[in-house]
Amino acid sequence: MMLFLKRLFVFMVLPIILIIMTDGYIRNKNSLYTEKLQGAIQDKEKIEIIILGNSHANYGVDPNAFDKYAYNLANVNQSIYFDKRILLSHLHEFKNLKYVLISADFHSLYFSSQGIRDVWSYYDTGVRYKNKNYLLEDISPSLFGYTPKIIGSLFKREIINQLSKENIVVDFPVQKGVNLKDTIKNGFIGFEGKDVVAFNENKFQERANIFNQKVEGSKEKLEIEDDLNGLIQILINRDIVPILFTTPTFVEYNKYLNTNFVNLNESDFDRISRKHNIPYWSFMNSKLFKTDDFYNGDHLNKKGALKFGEILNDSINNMY
Amino acid sequence: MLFNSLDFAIFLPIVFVLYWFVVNKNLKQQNILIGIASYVFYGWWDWRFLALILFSTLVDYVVGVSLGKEQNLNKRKILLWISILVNLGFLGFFKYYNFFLDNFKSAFTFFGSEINANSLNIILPVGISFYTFQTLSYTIDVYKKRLEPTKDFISFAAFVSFFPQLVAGPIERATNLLPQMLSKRKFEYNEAVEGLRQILWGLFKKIVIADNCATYANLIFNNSAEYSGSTLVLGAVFFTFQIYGDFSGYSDIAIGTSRLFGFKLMQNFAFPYFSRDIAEFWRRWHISLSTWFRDYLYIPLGGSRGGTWMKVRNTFIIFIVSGFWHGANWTFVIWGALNALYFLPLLLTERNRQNIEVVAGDSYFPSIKEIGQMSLTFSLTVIAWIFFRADNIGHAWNYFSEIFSSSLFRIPSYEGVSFLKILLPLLLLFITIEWLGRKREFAIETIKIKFRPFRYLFYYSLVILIYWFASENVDQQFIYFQF
Repeated sequence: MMLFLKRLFVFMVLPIILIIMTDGYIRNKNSLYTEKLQGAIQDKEKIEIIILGNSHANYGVDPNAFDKYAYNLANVNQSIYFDKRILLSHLHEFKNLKYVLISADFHSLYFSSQGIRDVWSYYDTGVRYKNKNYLLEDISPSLFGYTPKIIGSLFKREIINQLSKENIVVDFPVQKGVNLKDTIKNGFIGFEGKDVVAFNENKFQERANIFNQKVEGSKEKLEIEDDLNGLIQILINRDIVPILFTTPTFVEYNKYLNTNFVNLNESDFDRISRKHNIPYWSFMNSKLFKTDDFYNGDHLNKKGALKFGEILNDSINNMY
Repeated sequence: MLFNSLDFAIFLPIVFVLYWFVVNKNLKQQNILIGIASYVFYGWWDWRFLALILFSTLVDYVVGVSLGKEQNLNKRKILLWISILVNLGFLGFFKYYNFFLDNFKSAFTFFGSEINANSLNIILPVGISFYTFQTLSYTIDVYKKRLEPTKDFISFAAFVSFFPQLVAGPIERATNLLPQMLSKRKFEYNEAVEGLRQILWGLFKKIVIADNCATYANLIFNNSAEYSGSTLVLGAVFFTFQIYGDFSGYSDIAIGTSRLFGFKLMQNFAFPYFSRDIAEFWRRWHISLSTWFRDYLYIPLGGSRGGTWMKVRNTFIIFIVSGFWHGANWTFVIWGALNALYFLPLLLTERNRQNIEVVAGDSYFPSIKEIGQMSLTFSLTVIAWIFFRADNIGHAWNYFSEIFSSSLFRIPSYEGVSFLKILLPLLLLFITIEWLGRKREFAIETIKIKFRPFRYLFYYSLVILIYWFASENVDQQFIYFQF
């Protein structure tokens, strides 16, 4: 028996060491979540406008285009559930906050979980998804928090960056399309140019189908709407103006989205805005945005984000 | 509790440590521990059905003890029938009630009269087909005086509910497992190491092979109307590997786990896809079920003795019952009947035992003839699996109609299927390892890599693949749980 246990231990030593080392690496790895949240806390006294939402807002609204001090707290796949809790966990610190722009996209009312990103968000913002227990994820991020595929790509990216002779500034994992020489400013880092591979009818249809399925199969709408109403009410009670807005998406992409849900969404957000007497601005099919403004079918690039930021800024300035 | 779950990864070491370090000196306590662990293992899924296992155990224990005392043949027969009726009664109710009801209703409607009876919302207790057959083997063997009945209830309960093979086999014979339960177990290093190796290989088969094939097989079978005949063939091949990886993987984990506790279970799969004819396939596929039916149904019916008609009748009975055992659906019945049709020509021409030894036993590579024989047998099983996997007869019919259409000659489309990049290399690796290990009980048994670091490297590679795909394909149950 002792020989068996001894050999089993010897066999396990290497994987255990690797897991501990990987855990250490992941725990100390900077991320877009920490980068954004820490930046917001650092600028807490100055921030007047906060932008919330998923990747559409994350890459699509440049806060530097605003006259007031704006900060982009949106993140990839970030649902209203997480928007609300990330904001509320630090709301009391934003003493100067006047406006909160809440991204109201095609799928915003239809999902609360961000999939695997729930755990990443938990690690870096502390927000738990509903009653989920994160004990195992706390014990070992590499075994229970991240999939090996993600860990593999993190290592790969790390090695490529280390070997690169170029002056890389970004020190956290970003999506393909982000310029690694960019710096994150006011929570914003944008897409560069255009993803030529993704900018065609097939890809538009493929991507739209993902959202169509998400929306058509969802049973969460009422719960999410309640959650959103709750957030809006809290903000109003604090004399902060919530603004619902829909980001521009490319017209050729939009035609593949389920029209019934597009129309339903419009009327839903319209109803919510009237209920609370707050603005709702939809730029979904806005003609102000041209092909050059888009990185892919549903994301603006840096140029488009700056343009959209300016439009939102003008809209805020023209409110009263 | 699933073998491929974190719960089991915690459960197994705890039971192992308690078994070998806390209660190792006392056989009774070891059996109590097995019994408790088995009930926890089963109750993890649904504790309410523990009562069912306990009741079956009690009935068969009492019947066994009574058979031991009773000499009167008629009374012995009554006792045997009590056991059969109770066990098959539960199985029939939970598994087949709605099937028979629906078919009776359809038949009465067809003949112009209606019957008013509603289907019941019945949950099928996991593993009921497996433990029912295991306990039946006990009472039948005691009745036939092939086995002495046990008076040790704890050991008997541990035998019935033995957690490694409780929910999906191998279906152990009382003559094999019960004596092991009643005698002292000794920890043996080699057995424990082989056990771990078999568990590792079982997990690889399940998580890496079966679950990956399942993704594509499900995609193609669930949307079969949208695919060409060639793609449907690909779907059927994926399912063929899925069901083998899934079920034989479970058996490997079960047998390996048992070895850790000092038990030797029967081999359940012996590389069936390397069979040269259907008779050989059925000697190598789900061996514990095939031999159960052979010993407790086929032979009592007369087996292959008697005239041609008798052989045909018995062959159809055993294959159709075997199909029906898998589920209350006509697709399983047809799957069984189709296999009977495959098997009969071999039986009637007395060529059903021509391929007893392992294929290419003396060489690395099979001969051209053997390749042809294996390919034909494999193709026949792929065809039969289509019935097994189809939702209903109509689905199977449409599936075949598309396969045997001109679209069979189109290039298969597999949108969203990383077939060439991921699945094909994995399948090639799997088939190669299985081929190299075909003379052993499982493919990586007593693996011939002498230099330990290289051997460990091989195991680490398997562990990494398991870890990789376990997090990619979450929540994949074992197929045979539903039976």
